[in-house]
Order: sequence, then structure tokens, then C-alpha cells
Amino acid sequence: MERNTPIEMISFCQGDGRLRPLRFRLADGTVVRVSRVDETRLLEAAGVTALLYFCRAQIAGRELRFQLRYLVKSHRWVLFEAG
Amino acid sequence: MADRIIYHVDVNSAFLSWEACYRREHLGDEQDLRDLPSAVAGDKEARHGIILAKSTPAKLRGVKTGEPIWQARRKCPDLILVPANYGLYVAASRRFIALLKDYAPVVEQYSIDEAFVDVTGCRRLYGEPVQAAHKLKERIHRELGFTVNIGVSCNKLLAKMAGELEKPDKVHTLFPQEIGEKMWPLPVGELFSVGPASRARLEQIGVTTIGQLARMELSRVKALLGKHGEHIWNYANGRGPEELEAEAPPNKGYGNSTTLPADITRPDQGRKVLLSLCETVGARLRADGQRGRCVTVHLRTADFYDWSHQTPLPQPSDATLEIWQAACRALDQMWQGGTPLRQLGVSVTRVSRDAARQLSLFGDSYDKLARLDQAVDGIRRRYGEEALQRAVFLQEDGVEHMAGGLSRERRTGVTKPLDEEEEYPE
Repeated sequence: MERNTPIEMISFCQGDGRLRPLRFRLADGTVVRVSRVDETRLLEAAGVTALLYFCRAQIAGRELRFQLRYLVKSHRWVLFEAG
Repeated sequence: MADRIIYHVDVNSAFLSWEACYRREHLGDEQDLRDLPSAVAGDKEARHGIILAKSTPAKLRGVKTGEPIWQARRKCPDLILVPANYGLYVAASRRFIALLKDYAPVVEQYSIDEAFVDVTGCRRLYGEPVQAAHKLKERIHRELGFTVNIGVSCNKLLAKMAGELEKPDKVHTLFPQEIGEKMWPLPVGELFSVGPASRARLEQIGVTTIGQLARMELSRVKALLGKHGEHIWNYANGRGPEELEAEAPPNKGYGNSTTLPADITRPDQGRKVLLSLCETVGARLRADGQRGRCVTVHLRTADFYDWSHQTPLPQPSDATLEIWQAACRALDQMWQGGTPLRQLGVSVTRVSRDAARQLSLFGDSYDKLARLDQAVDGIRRRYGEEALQRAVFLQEDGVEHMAGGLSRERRTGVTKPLDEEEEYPE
């Protein structure tokens, strides 16, 4: 799996400003529903802000762990790494 | 009042560190450029391809900041070069300065990658200055992912000299009682504001260390180097300004220069390059609401001789066309074509914010020009610099329609005081 793939995302913005990923679609059309967010982290390395989500999802009956990132400046979601 | 404590915080190989950190943390690169012989370089295609920042392994192989790429490659054939990404560096710099401002009340940004921080009276908050500096250094590394040097002393000069002592990722002190041991043995060229010219003159009379300069008679230094001699003599003795300038001082002048893709030899080419420089200089003046009274044109020949000539403006102006007309007069007076030119620059000085213009008896087109410039600036601000250009620049001869600055990206705020609010609304 290539790193840092751009994805289409449906997310939930809570009233207090928190953001939660719900469901996303890869370029090949695969839709993944995020079943659980284990941990979130703020990354500000080199002055670039990203929100990191360490998530799980059920794909073909197997549980997969992966990391999603929300890039604050460009308002984009990426699948950072999976596996 | 407690004794003054000043930190000088300096990002180690800033552009390279930021680039490496971004690639590793955000793009997921396995390797870290900081651990390899690598450098950030200017545009390889254009002729100003120089090393802008290098990694420690590259430094150990003799690569120097500011040298041409080919020279660096000769010393270090496996040097990894990455192009400069000014947008990233501005973002990193802003976040760095914001962190310092969060840490202490008075911060003076000194350049894109260094700042002075006044922590006088912070002892109860952060503890002993040296331990606190270590904690600040660790915090920057933890939160922003790059290393800094922190120099600790009681004035800006000594703090800066301390920060330069040994790199990277270090805290050094240089208090007045330590000058003799830590600063005086250094070569005189290492002293703040001693450039190659002053260094050469000092070395001619046998002054090679900062200590020797410090022990000279002031009158002798002044006889040799004039007013500047007095400054550096005071610096050599550890005396320098204590107060921080938290507000950026107003710009004394506005200038831009450009290295041409190919040498020029004809006056019409020269005037065209000046026009492209006047476009950017004029826009910067207008953006800051300033008008200037004097226009200077700088030339560099293909053989690296530098000339400059200035000419006054009849009326204080910020109009591109008036600045250009004055620049053309200055150019005509020192160059009529022939000698190949490699670089041209235009600067406008003696600026002030509310310089009044006298009404002219002989028809003054300034109001019309001002309205035109305002409309042009507005269109470019909204639709980009490419949206509108003078027809003369449509000719494809490599002259950009708005020249100056290291690159387009760089015009987004590196030369202006950085304002964190501007681009990243939270």
C-alpha cells in the first residue's frame, strides 16, 4: 500500500471543534467504514499542522489498523499508512 | 530589577532541518536528510544554483553555504540536493516564533530562523536560565521536530556569539566573565558584524583574534575602520545592546534584484529588466503605504564588478512608472550598453509614510498613475501576479514581468515581518 494516499472522507465535526473520521473512499472505489479510533494526536512538525487518527476497520471479515491524517492547512484527508 | 537574561535561539541548518523534518514526519520518508550528506539548493536550471543549507554530514565533507552547486558536487559527489520550498520554511518559521512568543513576553525575530528572547524575571517560572534553556530546546524538538542552538547571556551580542559556539543542538553561555576564555581566542572574522573587508584590514596589522581586537586602543581601531571600528571594538569587549526590538523596525528602503538567465548588452534590455523590478518594488511600497524620494540602480557585470548610481525623485512616489523613469535615468548615467550585465537591482530609499506631494504647475499625472497602480495591485492580489502584465513582457526573452526575490514563493512574506495570524487562522 502506498503511503500518504489522498482519500474522500465523510467526517463528523463536533460542537467543541473535535473532528472524527467516519467513512472514506479510496481512489479505486473501495469504501471503508472506520469502526474505531484508538488514539488521536496533533502533529506540528516543521510548522505544518496535521491531526493524526489511529483507527481500525473491518475489511472482508478481518480487522485492519491504519492511520488517517487530516491536513489542517489544505483541508485534505490522507490514508497515511495501513497494515 | 533582576539581571537581564537574553536567549539567542537559532535553528540548526534551518532550511535543511525543516525540509528533512517535513519529509520524514509528513511524507513518511524512511530516511532522514539530516543523517545523509544533503543540501537545499537554489534553482539548478537558473544560474543562481547555490547551496542554501547543508546537513552536518555534508558540512563534514566541506560543503559550504552559498557556494555554487557544481563546487559542492566536486567535494561531495553523492550529495543529495533538494529544491527549496519557501512556503514550508515560512510556515515553520512562523510556528517557531509563535512558540517562543508563547514562552516569553518579549521576542525579537532577528531573521527567518533566529530570534532573541528576553527571559529576565522568568526564573521563578522556568528555573535557572541554563536548565530552562535546555528545556526550551527540548520542547522545540518535541513539538516542532527540529533542533536549535540557544546562547545564554546578558545582552544580545553575547547571546548571539554564544549560540554560534558549537552546533548543533547545544546550549552555551557567554557571560561577561567568560569572554576571555570562550570568545577572545576565536578568529576575529567570527565576531558579529566583522565582514571579509574589516577582517582583511585587521589581519594586515596582525590582529587575528577577537581578544587582540578587544585589547587594542580604541583610537587605533577608529583610525583603521572608522565608526564601524568603534562598534566592533565594543562587541569584542562584550558590550552590545540589551533591549529587544519586539516590533520590527520600519523598512528603511525597498529593493529587489535579479540575476538574469543570460547576460544583457543592450540599453532597451536593461530598461525592460528595470521595469520588471520596479513592478515588484512599487507594489511593496504601496502595500506598506510608503513613498520614496530616491531611486538607486545596482549593476553587476559578467565579470562580477559592482556599480551603483542613484537619482532623486522630483516628488516622493510609489508609482511604478515614476520609479522606473528615475531608474532609467540612473542606468543611462552609468551604462550605455556594451559591457555584459549579469545582475540588476532597483531600490527606493528615503521612504516615509505620509510624504506629501506638491501640486505641479506642469501637469501632474501622479493621480492617474496611482489609480492605475491601485487597480493593477487589486487585480494581482485577487487573481494572482500572472493575471495582468505589461505587453512588453509577452516577448519571450526570459525576462519575468515581476522580477526580484529568490523565487515567487519567497515573496509571500519572508522579507516582511512574519505574522502568524495572517495565513493560518485557527
